[in-house]
Amino acid sequence: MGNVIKVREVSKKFRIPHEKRATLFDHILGLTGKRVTYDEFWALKNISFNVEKGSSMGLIGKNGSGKSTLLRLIGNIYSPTTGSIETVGRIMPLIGLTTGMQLSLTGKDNIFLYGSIMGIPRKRLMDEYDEIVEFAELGEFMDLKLRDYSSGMLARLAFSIALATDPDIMLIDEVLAVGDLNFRKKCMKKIDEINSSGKSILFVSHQTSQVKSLCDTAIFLDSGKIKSMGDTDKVVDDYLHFMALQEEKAEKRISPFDGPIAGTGEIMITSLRTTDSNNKEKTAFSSDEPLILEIGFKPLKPVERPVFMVQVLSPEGKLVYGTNTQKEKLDLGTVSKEGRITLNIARLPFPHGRYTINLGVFREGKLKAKLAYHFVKNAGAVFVTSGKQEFSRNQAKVAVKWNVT
Amino acid sequence: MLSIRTYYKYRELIWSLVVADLKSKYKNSALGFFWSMLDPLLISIVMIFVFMHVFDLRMENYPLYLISGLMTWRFFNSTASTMRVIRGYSGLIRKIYFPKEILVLSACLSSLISTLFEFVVLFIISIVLGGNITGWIVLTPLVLLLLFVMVIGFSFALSTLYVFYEDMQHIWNVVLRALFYATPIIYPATRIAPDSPYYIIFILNPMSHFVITIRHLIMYGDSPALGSVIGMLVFSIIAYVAGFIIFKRYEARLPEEV
Repeated sequence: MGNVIKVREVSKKFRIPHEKRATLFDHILGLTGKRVTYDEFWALKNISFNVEKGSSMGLIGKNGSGKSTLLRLIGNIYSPTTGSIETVGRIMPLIGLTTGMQLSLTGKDNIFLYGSIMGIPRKRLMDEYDEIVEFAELGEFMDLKLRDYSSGMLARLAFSIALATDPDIMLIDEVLAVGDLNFRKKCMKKIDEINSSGKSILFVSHQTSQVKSLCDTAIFLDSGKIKSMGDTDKVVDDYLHFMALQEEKAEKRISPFDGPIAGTGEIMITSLRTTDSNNKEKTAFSSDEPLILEIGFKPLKPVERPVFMVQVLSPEGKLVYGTNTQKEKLDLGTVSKEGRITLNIARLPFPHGRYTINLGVFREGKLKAKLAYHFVKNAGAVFVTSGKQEFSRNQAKVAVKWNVT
Repeated sequence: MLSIRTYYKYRELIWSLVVADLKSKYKNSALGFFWSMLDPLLISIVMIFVFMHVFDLRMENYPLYLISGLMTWRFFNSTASTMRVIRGYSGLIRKIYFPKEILVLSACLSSLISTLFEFVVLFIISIVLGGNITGWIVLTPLVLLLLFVMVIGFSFALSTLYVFYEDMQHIWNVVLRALFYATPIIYPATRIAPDSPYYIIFILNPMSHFVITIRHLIMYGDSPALGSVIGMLVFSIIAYVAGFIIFKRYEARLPEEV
């Protein structure tokens, strides 16, 4: 099948004036003085890709990476500074929450206004009106002005109108970030249906799970450039890996060990390193790779047989894995000088996401946070990037090994 | 050419926008129109009092002279609000593609429709105040149509410039007020004789021709002056073409700037 979107070496430059000179009066004064100067900002640089008819492509990237600008260029809202964009068929952009609906008008008026912008004859809109309202589940609110709608209602209306316009290409940006779960599911299902009926979709989302379930291919944008493109799973992995590295950099600035101490303090946990099997420090791990936690400790006085504990929490904050030296029958004897203890976790059978690690050191047989020598919440975090969904998030059975050095 | 084909293609959108605009203008009620008429009529009463009793102005049927001038001016004065139309629809412009001239045209069309209603009221007022209604009155819609073309031209230029310059609105309001006094609305047109140094302003002010022509058609009931007819034609065509060129020049940048 042919391409419905062809993007050829597209760049987009924005001008940002140094001083806000938004008045004609200033401009006239400016003629005698210095000229208005601008900062140039390349929102997109040299982007090329195709979207095949009937396929769906995801766009991922941080805020400000150029995703929305790219959608606006494809939607013919902005024009590219250089390069060219060709599209085939009717495009329906759904950008942001209100997608350009007029807040001062009622829901009903907006359906007709938006429909006519999309070139849908009024008669057809009348015929489909009930269907639109039904899909949006907004029956009794159609005569209410949009400014009195909740964000979820706005999204529902926007999405329902968009569907009714029967576009060949849908550009979806953040519309599905709001609204209740049921409606989002309904929309995702509908998008999938549209997609399978031969329409093309370009989808921007921060939720990589949505992108994964919806898109055949994906593009990962960073600072206006394509970092990675192709198979969705691979691109999402690249993205999560990249984000993990970024967050790692940011996290180094504040240490969780500096905060107020939870525990009685006879022995303290002083550091946590996460490394791979070659002792190389890193925080992004794929599911089948071993994670080694190196925990530093320092006793203030000799401590009899302390028990070290590690907890791994899911992105939702649920305990997914926990172990301790007592359970693994590791007797540390009397600890009187500082040292390190390592825990080798053979693999991380969790869905992708950011997992936080809690550390604790306890009196033998009394593994309660209240009775701890020292307990560090959020001592560190690792990113699991492979995203193997088939594993359950329940407590995983993993081979582990404690070592004292 | 000059977007006329675009207007036809998007006629349903234009209609939706016009209906939406009129609805919000008249707050969804016929009474809304009544209230909107109250403003010019009350102003007329005040001015009639001031000029006839305070300044002791003596001229034939001054009330009708004033009201017909004011009503014609009101249409041109709507540029003060149509100039806000592109900014007003910034949400739409930033999120979906459509020809932006549609917005300008529909704002002006909404003004035209209001004006047509107001002129029905003016027609009644003319009968009540003893205006000479003759067959010439049928040309009134044609003159309003020409004025409509000129209003579109001004709206193109103003609404585009207003996107880039925030103080455009204040500047235009001042210009409008100056033009109001340059137009023979509250004073007799005969005060500006051809040998007067102000006669050139009178000729170059497009609104002079419209106001004078409307009075011929709706008040005196005789033929409009050829000079005024030429003036109206020339100014409305120049205004439309010039406004359109300015608009087209900046059209592509509008979504980024609003």
